[in-house]
Amino acid sequence: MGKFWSFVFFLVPVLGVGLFVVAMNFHSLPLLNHWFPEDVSASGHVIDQLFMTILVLTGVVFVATEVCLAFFLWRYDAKANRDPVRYMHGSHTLEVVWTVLPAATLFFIAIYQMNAWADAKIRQPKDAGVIVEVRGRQFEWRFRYPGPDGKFNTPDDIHWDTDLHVPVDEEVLVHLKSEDVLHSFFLPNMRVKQDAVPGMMIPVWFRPTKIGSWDLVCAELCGWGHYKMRGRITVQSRADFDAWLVEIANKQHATQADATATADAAKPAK
Amino acid sequence: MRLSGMDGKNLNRTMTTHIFNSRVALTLAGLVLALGILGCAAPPPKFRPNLVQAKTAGAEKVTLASTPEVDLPTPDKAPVAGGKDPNAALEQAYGMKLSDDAGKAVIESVVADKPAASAGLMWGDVITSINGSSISDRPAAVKALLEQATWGKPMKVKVDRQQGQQIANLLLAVFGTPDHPERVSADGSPDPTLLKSFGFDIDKLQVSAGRVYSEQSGRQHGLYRLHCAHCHGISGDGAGPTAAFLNPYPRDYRQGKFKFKSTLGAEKPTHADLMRILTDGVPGTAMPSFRILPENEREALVEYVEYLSVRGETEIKLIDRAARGETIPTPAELAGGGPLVPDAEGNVTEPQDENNIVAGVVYTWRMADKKIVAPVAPSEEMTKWLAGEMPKNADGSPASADSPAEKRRLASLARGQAMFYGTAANCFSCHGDSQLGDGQTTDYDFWFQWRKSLDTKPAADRDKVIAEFEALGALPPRNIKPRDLRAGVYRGGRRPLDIYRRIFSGINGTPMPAISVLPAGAAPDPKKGVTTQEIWDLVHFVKSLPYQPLSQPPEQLEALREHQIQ
Ligand SMILES: [Cu+2]
Repeated sequence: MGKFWSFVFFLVPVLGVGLFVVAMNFHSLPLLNHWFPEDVSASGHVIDQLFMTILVLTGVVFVATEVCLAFFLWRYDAKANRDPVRYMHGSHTLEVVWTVLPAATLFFIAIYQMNAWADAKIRQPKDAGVIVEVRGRQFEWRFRYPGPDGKFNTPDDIHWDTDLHVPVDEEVLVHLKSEDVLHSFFLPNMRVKQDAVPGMMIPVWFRPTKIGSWDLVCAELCGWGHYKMRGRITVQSRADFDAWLVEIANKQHATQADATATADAAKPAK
Repeated sequence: MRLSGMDGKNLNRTMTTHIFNSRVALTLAGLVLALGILGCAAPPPKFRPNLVQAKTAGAEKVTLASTPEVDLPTPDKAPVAGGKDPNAALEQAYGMKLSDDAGKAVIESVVADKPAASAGLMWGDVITSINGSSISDRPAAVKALLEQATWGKPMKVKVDRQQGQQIANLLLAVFGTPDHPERVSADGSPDPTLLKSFGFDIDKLQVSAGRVYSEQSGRQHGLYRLHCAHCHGISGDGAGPTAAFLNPYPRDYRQGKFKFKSTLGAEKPTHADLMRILTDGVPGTAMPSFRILPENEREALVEYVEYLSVRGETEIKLIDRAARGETIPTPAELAGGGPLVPDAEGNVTEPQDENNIVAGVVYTWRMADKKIVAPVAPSEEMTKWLAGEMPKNADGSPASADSPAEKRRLASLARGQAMFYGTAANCFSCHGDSQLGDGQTTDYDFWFQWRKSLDTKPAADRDKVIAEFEALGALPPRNIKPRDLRAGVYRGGRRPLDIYRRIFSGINGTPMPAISVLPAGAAPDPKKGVTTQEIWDLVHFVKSLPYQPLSQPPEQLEALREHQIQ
């Protein structure tokens, strides 16, 4: 029976590694696209690289540990093993090795990630192409652009929600706020995730590199409707973005029923 | 085909019994509450566990709704009509027909101004005794009415009147159930023609109704349950499972009252209005934006909300009539009055027969497009101010306070402010001297009015009755707060157009009144009213409030943070 269990335990590293290999293949079913979502940001590859480095490090340790476990289960199975028991009182060399090696590895990771961390969280860009205020609330995302005067809290602010528009290839600086509880502003394709904290304004920045539309989700369980807190991020060319801003600003400043409303009124009642 | 399940039916009976019991005085408000339950002809137990519980808990309290005894006049002579079906003779003699429902003698229809109707017999009544001898089935009733009658002398007819059940059946006959929005024809097959004749798009209703699933093609079904039902309730009663957590409560579509719309006063919203609310959400409330849903799904949901609203308003009107002791229309009368075909100008003829309740309600929806408030165009300068463009000098620097352009802007703000505190608009009395929405804080919502009007006999039963209603979905009262105009949050939209409409026609179903507008050509009289052009000054003033220094939140924290980072 003991040998059977050693095989079961051996399956853990085999299946674990297999799962990653299958998921990494973009055409694999049923795990289709369960690897990283498409990276469309300037600094996303840095995060991905860090992830891969740490994955390889932990992966090697994981496989080695699991193989050892299975080997010992098999080799020292009580039924099959007739060798007498040996006692030992520790090995100083071994202890030094297993203390120094992980410490050195952790130290390496700490140094290795410093620049990525500083770029993501400390070195706020001075040349942001667009500043947008993002407010999380139960359960949606609301946005505000500063309008033509470039300042928030003035009458020409442009308000919008749910579908965040930004220009491509420019630094986007987000002023992240919460109107009620903790939320988390998560752009999987930009490799950006930051908690929104009530009472605080937290700057978040990224530089999209591809035109298109991607997910914006809340990554902090914020209440019963957390699952509904979905949005989109639409990356546009600068010209399209400017035109879009003008369009929604004009709608927001409307004093007369817009063209669609008039058309509705004119068409016969259903 | 799952129609009104037993749960729903029993529930209706329980609820209606409450209504018709003498200990609860019949107030319309109380009735409207009861609708929440009638509204769910077939509530899936998982969605409304509280209702199912209430049903079982109150089961032993179920008594007959009412058992009136009437004097039914008879003609002087026996009717000449006859033959195999006695209904011809009954119709000639009394103006009524009997049907056989599970062996019982049920009045299938009554003809207006004929003996049965004038005696007060109604469609759906079950005849239980005639002249003191009990009637167990239709043949017995026919025998008593035609063979044992003393012609020329009235007879005593006692009936069992289950009006709650009658109303539930009536709704079923026109609207189907919220899960299956089509009535069922006699052979049990779905019959969408009636709803179609009232202008409903059945495909849209069906994609919104019922359980949540998606087709292989990705087409989503059950949109209403997926996105709306947890707040607005399966029947649109605004009392879904999460409703009690929200302030303000979700809209109850059955009242047919919508707050943020382009139409005048109490008129219905247009389809475009509901689309806008669904797309933009209602900031400051729990209603989120559904902008990322595909347009066809939003269109389908709006159509379904209109269906639930028409259905609910019909239900309220039916119960109101039952409560007043008036006749309930027959299914044919209720469904009559259609189709509502718009003429070349898009006008629909108003149904005249008050029994055509559905047509009457649908008419108000179909005419909404004709009641849109189109504001007078503001001056070019005003348009710029409203868009946040301040007067500037030639070099682009802000104009000083004594420049003519800036003087005109400040004068407009001053006029708006004067109106705010003036007697015609009287804004300050609710929105407060400093516009913080603290002028008065003693207005309460529907549920407070309902509690106040609830008159129980004996009075000591009040708490118990309220608890019973609460178990059935009644919500605790909430304070209605006037809007804080300095917060910069506009529930009905922040466009100057929206604020103009709020001021011009008030907010339906709330204490916010319409401003009194002077008739065109009248001499200006600030005590009596304002001109439409002056409303723009008021809009200008209101829109400027969030940007006054007094309204700006202290931003030290942000400043500090930015300082640290840079
Ligand atoms: Cu959230």
